[in-house]
Amino acid sequence: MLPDNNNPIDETSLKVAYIERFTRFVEWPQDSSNEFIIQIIGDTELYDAMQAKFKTHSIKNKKTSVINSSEIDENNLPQLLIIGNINKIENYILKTANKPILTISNETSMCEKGVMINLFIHEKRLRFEVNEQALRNSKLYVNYRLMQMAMRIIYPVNNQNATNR
Amino acid sequence: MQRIGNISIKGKIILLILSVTYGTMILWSVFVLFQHSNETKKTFNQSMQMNAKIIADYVVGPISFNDTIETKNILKRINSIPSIIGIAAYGTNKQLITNYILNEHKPNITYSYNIEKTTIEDQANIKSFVGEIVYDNIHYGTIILHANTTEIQDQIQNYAKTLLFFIFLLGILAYLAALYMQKIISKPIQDLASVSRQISENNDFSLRVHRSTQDEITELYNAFNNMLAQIESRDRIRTEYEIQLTKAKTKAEEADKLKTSFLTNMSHELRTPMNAILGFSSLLLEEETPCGQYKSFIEIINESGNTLLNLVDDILDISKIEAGQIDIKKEDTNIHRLLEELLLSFNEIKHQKKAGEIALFLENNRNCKNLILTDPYRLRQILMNLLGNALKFTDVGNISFGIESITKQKVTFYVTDTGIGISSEQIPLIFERFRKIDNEKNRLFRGAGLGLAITKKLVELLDGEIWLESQLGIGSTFRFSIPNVISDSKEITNNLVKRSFADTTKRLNILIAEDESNNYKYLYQLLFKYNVNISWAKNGQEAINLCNIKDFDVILMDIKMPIVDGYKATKIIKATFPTIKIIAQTAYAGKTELEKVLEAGCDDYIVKPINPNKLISKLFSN
Repeated sequence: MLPDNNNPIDETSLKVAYIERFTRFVEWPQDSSNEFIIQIIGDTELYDAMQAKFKTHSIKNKKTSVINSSEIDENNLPQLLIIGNINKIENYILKTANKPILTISNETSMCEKGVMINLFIHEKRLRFEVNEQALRNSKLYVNYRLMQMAMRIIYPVNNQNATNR
Repeated sequence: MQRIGNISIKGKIILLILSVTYGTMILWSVFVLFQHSNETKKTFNQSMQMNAKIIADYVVGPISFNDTIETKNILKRINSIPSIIGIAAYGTNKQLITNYILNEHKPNITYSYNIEKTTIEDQANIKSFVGEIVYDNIHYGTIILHANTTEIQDQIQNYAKTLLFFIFLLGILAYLAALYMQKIISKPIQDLASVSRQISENNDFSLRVHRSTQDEITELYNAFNNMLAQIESRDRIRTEYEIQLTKAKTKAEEADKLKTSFLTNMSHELRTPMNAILGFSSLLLEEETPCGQYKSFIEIINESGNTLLNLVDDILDISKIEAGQIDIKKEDTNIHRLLEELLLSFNEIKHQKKAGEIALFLENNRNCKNLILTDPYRLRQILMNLLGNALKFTDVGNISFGIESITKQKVTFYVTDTGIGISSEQIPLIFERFRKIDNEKNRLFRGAGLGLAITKKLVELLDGEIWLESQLGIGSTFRFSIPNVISDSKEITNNLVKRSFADTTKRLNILIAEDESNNYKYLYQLLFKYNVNISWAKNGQEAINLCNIKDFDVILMDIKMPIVDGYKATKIIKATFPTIKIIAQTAYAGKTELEKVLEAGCDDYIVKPINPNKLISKLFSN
């Protein structure tokens, strides 16, 4: 259960909960793999929290494994890639471009660089923004509820849909 | 039921139409209202349930990310949805996440922190709906939505009002239709009643009811008209009968009066000659009566007897005429010869009556056609009656008679006298039976008042007509016409006018068949002075027996006799001795009886009382 304002919890736990919620509203193309791979790059704290969370929790009814690696295995692509505070972000963007890999970051202006969902704190609340173009290119299906909750949509596919909450 | 029965037809028709219309409309309206109410409620419930589901779906996102503000923002959207007055979102732990209540309903609704403690069902017009917040089989919580049912109740009420309005409107239309329909049905009945009333008030059955359409009422009208026609016809017939009965009654009363008068008159007429007969015959029996007066006494007795005979003949004639028993036998008749014979007869009668101051003329143009087809016996009787009448009522002057004209169609006879005449008022009465013109002068004349009545009937039986012109104190002219039916033969000799030579000197063997000794004696006295040999048979059988023993030239055969009657005896004798001349003597004067006599084989007949001249003539003629 997500904490409310009356029960403040730490930011990392909140991010884990958010990331788990994101997976609820995103559909990956069908594949034969029965494993859901979450790869975390450059955020150990988050990795630990994720490890703790997904030891007992599965995503999409699949066995979920959280890996902490800076290299993307082309033969075993993760479904979810969390990119921490790193410099060469463009390389990862290039590698995952047009592939069914949901990319999440928690640094400023990451969506503009090509990350699909970026988490940030706004007015003491954890919020997120979405790069709709990147999501569209990835062939991932994103439920409107996720879009509905995004504070900002970067590169909206349809200009009319551009919102700024 | 009695009260309904007393309502007019107009009222009944209106009541019927309105009760059916209103009954149907009310039942239909209740049904429609019930249906509509259920449908509205059902639609409302479904709509609210749908709203709860949609809102639950909308809040999946915010609740997923624990976004209370956004959740509330979504809940606030109920502002734009009618009837929803409050909504609350509860989490999976049944704890209240957020709620929204329309300002005006805040006093009515309170959402408890725990879903299980939220109870707002008490309020009658507020209904709650639950929508589960589920996405992808994950349950996020529950939406409780409260809706105010006042609006749909208002809607139902409005619908009911509209329906009532329409029922009212239809009711007015139904009433107008009923008014119109009742006119179609009740008006003709009212018309019929009105005509019936007029008929009963004025007793005028010539009235009729009219209707141009064709329905059951028209049938009723026709039946009514037929009934009226029958009543009218029955009334007419009854009136005719009444008139006829009144006439018949008057006639019967008059006839009764006439008969009484006739009987009185008849009594007088019978007693007067009877008085002379009995009186003078008594005088004859008296020894003191001088022999020199015998003849004059006997003449009076004879004359009185003839008067009586005429009276009896007249009564018999009128009876037969009235009973329709007079037979008319038309045959070729020489009218000139008949008139000449009448002249001879009446000159003799005139002479007997010593009416020397009366001249009798026959104006007979013998150049005219002389043969017509008629009944000579009746024609003679008519002329004799008229001449007898003229002779009776004429004291001085003349009597002329004859043929006035002969046309293709008819022959007109006339009898004119210079007698007492009658007034024009009495002319139509003179041919009525028992009618004698009662005035002082007529009382001098005898008669039963039957002669002219018989004459008129006889003329009518000959298909003719009779009329009279007369002036009081100057005289009368009777005219009658009979059809001029042309006879085929040119010359004729009939019985009535036949004249044959009678040789009274020849020797005759006469058998008198007569059971009455007085009659025999009379015949014997009449005949013994001639050259005759007389035998007497007292009945038919004796006559037959005598014929077998002796030769007879003539038999005077009475008809009504004991043992064997005249008919049978004649037949038997004629069978054996066809040359014997048989003359029937009978008191049956009817023509039918006389024909029967001839049929039985008699050569001739003579009617009782026997006229001596006629008898001698018949006996000695060839």
